[in-house]
Amino acid sequence: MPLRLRLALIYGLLASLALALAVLLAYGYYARATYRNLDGSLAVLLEPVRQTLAEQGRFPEGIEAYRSYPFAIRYYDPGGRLVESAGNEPQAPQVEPGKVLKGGNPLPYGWWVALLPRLRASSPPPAGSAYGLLGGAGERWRVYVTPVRQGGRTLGYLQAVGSLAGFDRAVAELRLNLIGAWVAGSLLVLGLGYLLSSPALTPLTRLARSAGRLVASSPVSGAEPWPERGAQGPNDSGLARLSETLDTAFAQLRSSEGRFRALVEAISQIVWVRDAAGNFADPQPGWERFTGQSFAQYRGQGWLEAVHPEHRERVAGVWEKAIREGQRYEVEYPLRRHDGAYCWFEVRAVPVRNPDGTVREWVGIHSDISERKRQEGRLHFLQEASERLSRSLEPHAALVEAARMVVPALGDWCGVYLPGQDETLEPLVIYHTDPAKVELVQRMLSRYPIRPDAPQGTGAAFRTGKAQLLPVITDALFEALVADPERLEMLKGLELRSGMSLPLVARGEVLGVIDVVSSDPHRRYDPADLALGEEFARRAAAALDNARLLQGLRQSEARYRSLVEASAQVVWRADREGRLLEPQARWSILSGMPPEELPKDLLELVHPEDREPGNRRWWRAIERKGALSFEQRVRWAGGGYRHWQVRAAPIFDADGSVREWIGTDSDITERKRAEEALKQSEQHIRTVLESLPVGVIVAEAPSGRLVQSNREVERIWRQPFIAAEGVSEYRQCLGYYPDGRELKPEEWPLARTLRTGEAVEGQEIRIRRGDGTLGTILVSSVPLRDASGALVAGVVAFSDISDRKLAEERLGRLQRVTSSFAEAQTLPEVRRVILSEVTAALGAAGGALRRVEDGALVVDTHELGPHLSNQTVRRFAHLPLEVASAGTDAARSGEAVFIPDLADFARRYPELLEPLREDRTQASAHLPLKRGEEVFAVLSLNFAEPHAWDEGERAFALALAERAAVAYERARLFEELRASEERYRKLAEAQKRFVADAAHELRAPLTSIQGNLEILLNYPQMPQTERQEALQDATRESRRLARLVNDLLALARGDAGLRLRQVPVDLGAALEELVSETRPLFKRHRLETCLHQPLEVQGDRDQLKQLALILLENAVKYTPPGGEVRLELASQNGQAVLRVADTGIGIAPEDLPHVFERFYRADRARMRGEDPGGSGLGLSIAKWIVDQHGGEIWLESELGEGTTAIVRLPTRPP
Amino acid sequence: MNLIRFGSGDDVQRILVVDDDPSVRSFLRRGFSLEGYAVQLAASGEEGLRAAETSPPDLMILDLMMPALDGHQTLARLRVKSPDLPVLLLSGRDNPEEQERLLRDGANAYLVKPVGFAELLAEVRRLIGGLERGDVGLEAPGGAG
Repeated sequence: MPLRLRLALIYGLLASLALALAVLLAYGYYARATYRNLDGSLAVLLEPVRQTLAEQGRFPEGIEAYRSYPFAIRYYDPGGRLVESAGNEPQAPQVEPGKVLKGGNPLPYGWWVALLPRLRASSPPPAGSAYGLLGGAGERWRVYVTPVRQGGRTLGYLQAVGSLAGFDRAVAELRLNLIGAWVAGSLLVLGLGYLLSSPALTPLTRLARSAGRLVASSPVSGAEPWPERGAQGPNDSGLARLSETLDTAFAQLRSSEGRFRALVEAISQIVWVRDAAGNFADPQPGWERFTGQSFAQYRGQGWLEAVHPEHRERVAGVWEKAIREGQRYEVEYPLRRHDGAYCWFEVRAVPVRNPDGTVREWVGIHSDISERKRQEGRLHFLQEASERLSRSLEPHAALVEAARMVVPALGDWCGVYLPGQDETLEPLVIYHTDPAKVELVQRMLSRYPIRPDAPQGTGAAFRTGKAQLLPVITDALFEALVADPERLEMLKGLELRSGMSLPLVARGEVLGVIDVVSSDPHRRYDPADLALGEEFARRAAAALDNARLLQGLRQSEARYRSLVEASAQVVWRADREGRLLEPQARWSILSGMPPEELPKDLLELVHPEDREPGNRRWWRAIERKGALSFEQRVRWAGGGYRHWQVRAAPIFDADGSVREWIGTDSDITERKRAEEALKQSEQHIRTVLESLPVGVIVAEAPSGRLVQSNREVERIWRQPFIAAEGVSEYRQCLGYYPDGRELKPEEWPLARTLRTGEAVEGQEIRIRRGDGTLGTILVSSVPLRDASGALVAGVVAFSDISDRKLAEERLGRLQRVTSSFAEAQTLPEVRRVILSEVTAALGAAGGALRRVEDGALVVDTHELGPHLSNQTVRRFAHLPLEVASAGTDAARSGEAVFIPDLADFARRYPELLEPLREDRTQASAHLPLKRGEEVFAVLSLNFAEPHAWDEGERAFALALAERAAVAYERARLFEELRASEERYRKLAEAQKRFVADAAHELRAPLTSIQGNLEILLNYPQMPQTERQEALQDATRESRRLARLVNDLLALARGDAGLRLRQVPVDLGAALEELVSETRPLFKRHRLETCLHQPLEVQGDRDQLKQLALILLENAVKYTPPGGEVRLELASQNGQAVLRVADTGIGIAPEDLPHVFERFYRADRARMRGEDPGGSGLGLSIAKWIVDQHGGEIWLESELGEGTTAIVRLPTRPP
Repeated sequence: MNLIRFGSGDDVQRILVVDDDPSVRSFLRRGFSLEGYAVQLAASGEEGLRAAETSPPDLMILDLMMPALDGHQTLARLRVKSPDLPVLLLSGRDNPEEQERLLRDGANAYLVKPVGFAELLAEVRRLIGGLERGDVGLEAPGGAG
């Protein structure tokens, strides 16, 4: 490191340390002074309060003024209870005086202050007082407590709690500034040290040089004094930068110093301290700054020199008295500012006493009240002006008076101008203290009259009604404005320096202009002056107007009467107490009666209902001195009452008191009548609106504010009328297009009409009603235009077409269902349509179709919704009609059963509630499907939500059910037809087969007979045995043929509808008989019989025997020799049961269904071979016989085991 | 001389009768035996087919309505092995369409029951010419000797 640098560093460090110490000391001093001043203020401000409390036991008057200070003042009794408080109460924390006393006197200045000698307290508090500190880092409060004593007795404690926030901020700022100053200073010293340690140059030349470089901003070649890392420029740019840094540092130092000083001064301005004699003993920075006096000038009694001479004596007197009595004092006086101008100050001072009660010193605080004083002065001026102006009843006298007042209070010149002939402003009065100057102006104005079209000044004020301000008037200004040299000379001679042109405005009309001009070169009118001037001009204008009115009134009083009668208006006057002047005249006009006919009590003329209200208003207006207006009815000579509008207004004097009242009565009878008619017509419209079956809403254009509606609106929307303030608020109503899109607020027909003026015709909108349901409205909207065609409102009318829409929708659904039914041919298809489409059309979650069958409801088909448990479906799959349930009720009664909710269900079918608990069905419908009057099925629909089942929906459901019934019945008939066709086809086939079979069966024996007979005839020589055989064959076949023919005939008779005999038959006896007759049949078989006797049936004995015979023959025929045949007759369940069992070959299962068919044989080959006598018709005949007896017959068989034929016949009731 | 030739001489024409009705079988056996034909009887279609295979006849008289194999089926099977065997259908059924179909399917003649023996014989002779060789003819009952 070069020596130079090292030296510089050492210099710098030393200097920096010294600087730091200095800064620290300065900071401690000023910080302490800052807080000290707060403490002093608290003490000073509390002192007068304390004294008042000690003497009078209450806060002094004017304590409210403390509210503007940033602290609270509280008075506690000795017990610590709050007695009174004042000041800025809401912000200050509550604190008990005892606690603060215990807290001692911690100072909030910091440890460094301890290094300093204690500063002399500028205002030591009275004995027993204490300071305390409250709060933390966020906000700290200084608490000052001082005891209130009288004669050694403590009456209580006075406490002040002030925020330290402002002080803390100031000190913190100070700290920052000082640190900045120290850093800057250190850098400065470091830099200087570097420069000074250079052996080549003397410090001065180097400083000058570096400064020169700075100014020239030109690089200087030479040795590089300060190494600059990464520098791109010439070598000595580092030096330039250093100089720059130094400059900045200086500037910072200066500015922080300045701020610092301002802070201290601002604080010390608050408080000053004088000795016991009232003289300044120490320098007072605040006083010095304001007055510009030096300590030498103001010490002792010298300060009185700064007081305005007119007030000096008074102020000195106040002081003397205060010092003599040792009492606090307050005084206001103008104090001369350093520039010579006087400012009003308010001074308050309190004595600071020694423990022995003697005054040690005075602490005072003074505040600039010059602004307040100025305002007071203005107010005073205005008050006086008003008073004087109102005193003059002649208009021009009033203005002359005004002009006289302006000088000298506002200016040196005053001119009042009123509009004259030929569009110029003529001077009414020019006022100046010097009559010669007035004459000069008069002369000038006669030659150069003021024109209202002047760009500025008087003319402009008149033209625009706005006050004109010319703060500075110079000769140069005139030269620029005025070309005429003579006029220019005149103007220059007037010594105009600053001016205002104030328009006289009354009731919106510019009556004239007041010009105020100052010749004082130091006086410049400012906006405050202008405001004052304007206020004055307003009062002058009011006075002028008033005076003119009065004058006019007086002048044309006579004419008024006639005018009144023509315009139906009466003008009257009353004195300040409200007593009517010339009452007879007024009431004579009002009532149309001659004055001599008026009643003694004029109030009798007023309609009884209007007397009291009118009177009350009148006297209240008198009391309040305010204008009034009311209506009353007055008896009319011609009969009846006339309506009068009474208006009255007070005429004020300048001092604000009422001089008199001027009133008018206007005949508003016609208007009243018109109003009444209008009201009635409105009422009429209202009535019409209300009785309209459509909702009507009227909205203002263009805002869209809804202004009127009828009840129907609320009924349709099912919600209170929405008083929308604008179109955007229409969004409170939810509407949808038919395609489901939501309407934007501006898309509502009303909004469209209001926006574009278009008329909307019959738009259909789905709406979400107030109760959440959907409805449909048909909306039309038309614009309302005024006479000029401007759109003023929109009217929308809408009708509720929800029911119609619903009906349409239902009709549509019904049609769809009907067409689905039309396409469905078969029962399964119809069932599908019922369960899917009917269910969907009603919005049901699921359903079941149950047939009425054998006295029960049987599930035909069902579709499970998610709401029905399988258990439920099983439970209701087969339900006897006598069981109480919704479905069976519907089936029994033929009436639909609608269940809206579970509560209703529980009421109707309490016993079913528990079994159905698991279902989530909330509502249901049970619709009987009828064929004529007969219910053949019930359609049950289940809903997952409660269902209202209103009239329309019930009708819809019934209509659907009716369609379903028709479709179902048609499909059933269709199927029956198909079945019957099938039966017919089968029958026809069987018939054909029967014919073929019969032919075959008949031809076989015929062939044999015919052939054998031919052989017998043609071969006579054939052997004997052969002849014998041929004859036997022919004989047997003839028998067979005969039997076959008999059987066929029997069946044919049955087919032809033959009825058997119906007589009681002892079946057992008949069978016994048969058994004995057919013994030969069982030559090779064993017959077992077990016949229950007696068993009587109703029928044909021979046929029953034939039946049994057929069965026995068949048994024998199909049972190999040695087998057993068993014949049984038993009574079972009131029926006769006949069984014929064999141990034969049995019948194959595939043959069993056909055994009763004619000529059907299970095994023809064998049968033919063994017993050619069988006709193949036996079982057919047997079945026919059984059928004829109302019984049934069937076979049970197992191949190889045997066959059992079973016959059941109804027995004859005993 | 034995007018009715039973037995199975080489010169004797053989007729196989297939019919489930015993009385019809009995009558046919009697008649054709008296006419000198060797007659073999079968009570069902299966039986007839078997017989036709073991000792092929000169002619088959076949019934239509039989259990199990009926006349149609029997004829169809027969034609597989004996396409040229003359078959005379003798049935109680008189459906002309059925007759036509059967003739198309290989039946050589169709006679409806009941039928006179002379008519039957004439048809048989037409089919196998037995009349030229036979001693007995219906036309000449008293001839020969």
